[in-house]
Amino acid sequence: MKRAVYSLIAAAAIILANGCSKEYELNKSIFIPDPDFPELPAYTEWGYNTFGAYYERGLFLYSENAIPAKIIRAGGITSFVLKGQKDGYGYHSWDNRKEMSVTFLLPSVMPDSYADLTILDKKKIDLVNTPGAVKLFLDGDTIKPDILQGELEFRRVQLLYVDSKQTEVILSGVFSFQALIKDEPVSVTQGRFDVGIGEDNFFSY
Amino acid sequence: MKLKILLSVFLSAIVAVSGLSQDTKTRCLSVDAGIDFISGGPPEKDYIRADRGQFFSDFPTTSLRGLFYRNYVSIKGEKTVLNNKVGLVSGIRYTRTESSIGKESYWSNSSDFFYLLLRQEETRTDYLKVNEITQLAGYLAIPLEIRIYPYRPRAFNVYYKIGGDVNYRLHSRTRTVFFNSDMKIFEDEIENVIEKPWVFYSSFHLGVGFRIGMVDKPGVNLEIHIPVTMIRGGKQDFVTPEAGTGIQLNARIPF
Repeated sequence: MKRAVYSLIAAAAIILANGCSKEYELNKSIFIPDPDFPELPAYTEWGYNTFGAYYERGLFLYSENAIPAKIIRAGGITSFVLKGQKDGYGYHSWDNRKEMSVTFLLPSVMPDSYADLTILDKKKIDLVNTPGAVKLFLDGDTIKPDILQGELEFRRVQLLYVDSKQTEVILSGVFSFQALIKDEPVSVTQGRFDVGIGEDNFFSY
Repeated sequence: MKLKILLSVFLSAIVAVSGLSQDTKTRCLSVDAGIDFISGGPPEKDYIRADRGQFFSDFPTTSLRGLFYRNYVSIKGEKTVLNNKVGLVSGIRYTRTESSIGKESYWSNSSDFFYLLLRQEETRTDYLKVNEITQLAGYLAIPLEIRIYPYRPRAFNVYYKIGGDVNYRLHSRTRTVFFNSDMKIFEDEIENVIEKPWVFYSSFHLGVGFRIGMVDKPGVNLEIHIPVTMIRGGKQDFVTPEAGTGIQLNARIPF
């Protein structure tokens, strides 16, 4: 009887210990507020899986309910996708009607795996002189805006090893642009991202 | 250099104690031991990846704790003046400090881990999963105290005190508990990542004491301390002490 009780306690302890495991932490988002724009995540380089920008005066922000960033290599084109919400109720919520994504074309970048993304380190992409550089999903529509001016900058790209094991690539950078959307000039400002790209969100097909 | 400092500390302690022994009626020698617990704020380090609080994920760093405690043994002399209403105390002390990040409490270890930035070289970055880091240091110290005895001497007396000590570091080491024990090979490297222990520090406290036994007979004192402030001789703290409490027990021999 005693042995059974001890076994039960041991099993409960193991289950509790596993329940508290933080292995998932690298995939989750951690919001550190920007000191100047507290609605936006601060610019960081830790792979906190966050991004944010102002779309006009509204907020374009990641959500905990969607994978915030993907790298997609398909049909000879590589894209960097940031998916979140415009004017949502914060990063805890999700509303399909508020879904917004920005897709940046990465010219002459052909990674075979996420580890190859280190070639983006310190790379700046002029969004005006790159045809089809930006694609938006906004108000239920996919839009290819005319970019008036703007830039995407990968300030730091790190191949991350955790306990000496290759785990993911951290992409950290900033973006902003002005564009004509449905003949109306709009601006996206103060854009920043700090996202991890690993086996789960690197796609090649 | 270290030897010179040690000698000067030792000599000043002897001078302090011998100075006390000039009045034959109001002096005593005591041996004490004590411990102070001082908690620190949540550590926000540029080498620790922020964390999500277990219950409040909006507060990213609250699930880690910084803890500091110290224990010590001293040999002290006391001389009472002003009709035995005030006691002046000094001596020599060895203090051991323990600062930790990652522990859940002073006496329990954490099963959880945090990510520590070990190094960044060009586009390669290395994190380690660490359960806790503990920094241990030993200090030679000179304690200085003023005790106030407002009541008539009895077999049990209450008194009040203000005190402090000045500490100089003799040795230190860092102990790291890794989530993956194979990472023990990086223990020395972690010592270079974290802040160094203070070379000097001074602590000051207020306290209340209980003197058990008559003044002219051997007896014991029990003191409860509230640390007021610490002056640290370093640019950055591994753990920033904030608030705490302490207890001291001493055995005294009048002579």
